[in-house]
Amino acid sequence: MAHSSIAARLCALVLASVSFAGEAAPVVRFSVDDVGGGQFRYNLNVDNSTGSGDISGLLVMNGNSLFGLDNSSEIVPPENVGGNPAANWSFLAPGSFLDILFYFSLDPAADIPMGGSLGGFSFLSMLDPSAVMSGGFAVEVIDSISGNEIPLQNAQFMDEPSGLLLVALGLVGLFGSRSLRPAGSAQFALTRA
Amino acid sequence: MDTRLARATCAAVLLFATGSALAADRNDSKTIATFVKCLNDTKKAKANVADVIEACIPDKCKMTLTMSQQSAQKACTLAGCKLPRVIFECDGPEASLKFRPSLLMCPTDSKFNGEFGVNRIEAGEETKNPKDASETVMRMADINVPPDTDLTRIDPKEVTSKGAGKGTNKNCNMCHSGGALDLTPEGDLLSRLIDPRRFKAKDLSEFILKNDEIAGICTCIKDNKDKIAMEAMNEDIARKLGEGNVVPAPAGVLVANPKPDMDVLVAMCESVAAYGQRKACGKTPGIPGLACSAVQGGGKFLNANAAVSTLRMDLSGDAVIDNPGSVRFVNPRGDLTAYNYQTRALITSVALSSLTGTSSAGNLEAGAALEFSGVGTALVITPFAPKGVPTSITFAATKIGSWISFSLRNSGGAVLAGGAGEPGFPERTSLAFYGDAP
Repeated sequence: MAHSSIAARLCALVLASVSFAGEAAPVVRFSVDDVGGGQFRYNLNVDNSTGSGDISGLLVMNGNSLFGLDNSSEIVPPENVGGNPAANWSFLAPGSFLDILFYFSLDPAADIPMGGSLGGFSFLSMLDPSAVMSGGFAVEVIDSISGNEIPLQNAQFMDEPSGLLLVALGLVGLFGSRSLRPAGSAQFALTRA
Repeated sequence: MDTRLARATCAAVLLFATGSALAADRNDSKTIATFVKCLNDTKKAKANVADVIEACIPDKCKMTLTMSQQSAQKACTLAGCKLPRVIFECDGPEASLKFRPSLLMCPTDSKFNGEFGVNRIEAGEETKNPKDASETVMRMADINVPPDTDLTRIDPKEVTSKGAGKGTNKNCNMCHSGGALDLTPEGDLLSRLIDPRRFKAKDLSEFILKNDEIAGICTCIKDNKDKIAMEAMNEDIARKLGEGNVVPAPAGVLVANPKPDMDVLVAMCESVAAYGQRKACGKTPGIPGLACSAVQGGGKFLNANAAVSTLRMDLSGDAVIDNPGSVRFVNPRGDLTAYNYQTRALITSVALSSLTGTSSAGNLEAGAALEFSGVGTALVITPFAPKGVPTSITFAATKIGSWISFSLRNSGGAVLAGGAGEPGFPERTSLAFYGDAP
């Protein structure tokens, strides 16, 4: 019984997190690679799985003042989105008089569709990621039709091993609860409320 | 008699014309190739860096003296004399691109590609990233010019930084980190720009000297030649230069110079001083009120429907400052790039033929009430024209208090990009004017 209870709680936790994400605006998540020499590669992923429109822009609001980005920085936009060589993103680098890093989709084929997500945004920075893991990484995205901004929560740190562990635990919980479920009990509803 | 006079005149004209064609013209130096051609055309078989400054650094370059050691050309102080790096920011192959030759007055250390920093000229030629027209990057070259160099034998293919298997890698990308950049079709390695005021998040503005300090530096060198030479030969001093740099120097770079040529150093300093007084940006003789000036700004702007446009602007050059509240650029050069998220129009490769500014508050540099306007051409890239369409444009930008707006329009008056800063977020836009004293 104890096993069943823990598994069910873990599963509920995963489902709750999926449900929460579903009701929120698009989410920008980031991971960080330590590339040595005091430099870190920030990798960004825009999750538009529950957004209300396609996305054609990503803005890193404190690109210069927080991350120290400028014309000399290695900034990489997504390319060949969906294997289409014309579907590229581009960017305007920040500088001492321009704080924001502007990514933009040059072709509608490169947009992030409703229900989709896109990685491939990255930049090198000297900023220690511990400074932004728990907040302060301000981002916005742009609606592809109106060109209007969609305000977002700060980008969320995606600790990949932890994320995989959470999914694995959720799956264990799901299968565990099914195998231990008494005959005739109600199944988990996988639909959103 | 008439015939003989005509023949003589003709011969003189031909001789003059031939001589002119062969003479090096420093003002043609806008790329690595044309800079090296200028060196070749000097016909000098025994030259040094001072000769290169006089013969091939074009007029009207903005000159920056820096004592920063975050470089493969590390400045130093020897015998109490500041021996800076000198960066020339000159007109490039297009109005939106720059050409930057630089040299080092520190006679020890910075030994790259077999030569001390004092005997090398580093050159950066801006170009558009072949994969992305919104990004400006550089081809680079490292030209060895030790005393008694034969300038006629310098080969552009040998001095240019090349990709693996395409020629000589000059190690430029140790600092100008070129990761994720492709080679040019010619095999040239592409590098990223570096602002002399900032390197990998380190503020270097405190190391910038005032240009008029160069005269005192020359006097200091002349008065301390022997002492400077002794310190330049000191291995302990050489090893300590650049300690704690963001990019640590590889082995063999931090070494003393066994034979510093102090006469060449004096000549180099005097050439830099003469350039700064008579040829640099803002120093063209005979134009009253001329000053080296710049307009910088940009940010995130919203139109009436809240659609976002972005602007990045860094224009500079000779400008006539009629009074503290009015400026007229003679030949504005530099970067002006904008993007309209609603129409997906990227406005790039902007070349303004005119740019004027006024301050209704009477003081441009105070920046309280600014109005800039210009006309020119641009390349407008859209999904329907991915290679871009050359377009006549007008540019306008205003600043009232902390409220900034801009517009880029085509010749029909249609807005290509533009809008006003977001209410409540003044830090997301900027517009400022900088001018040296005329």
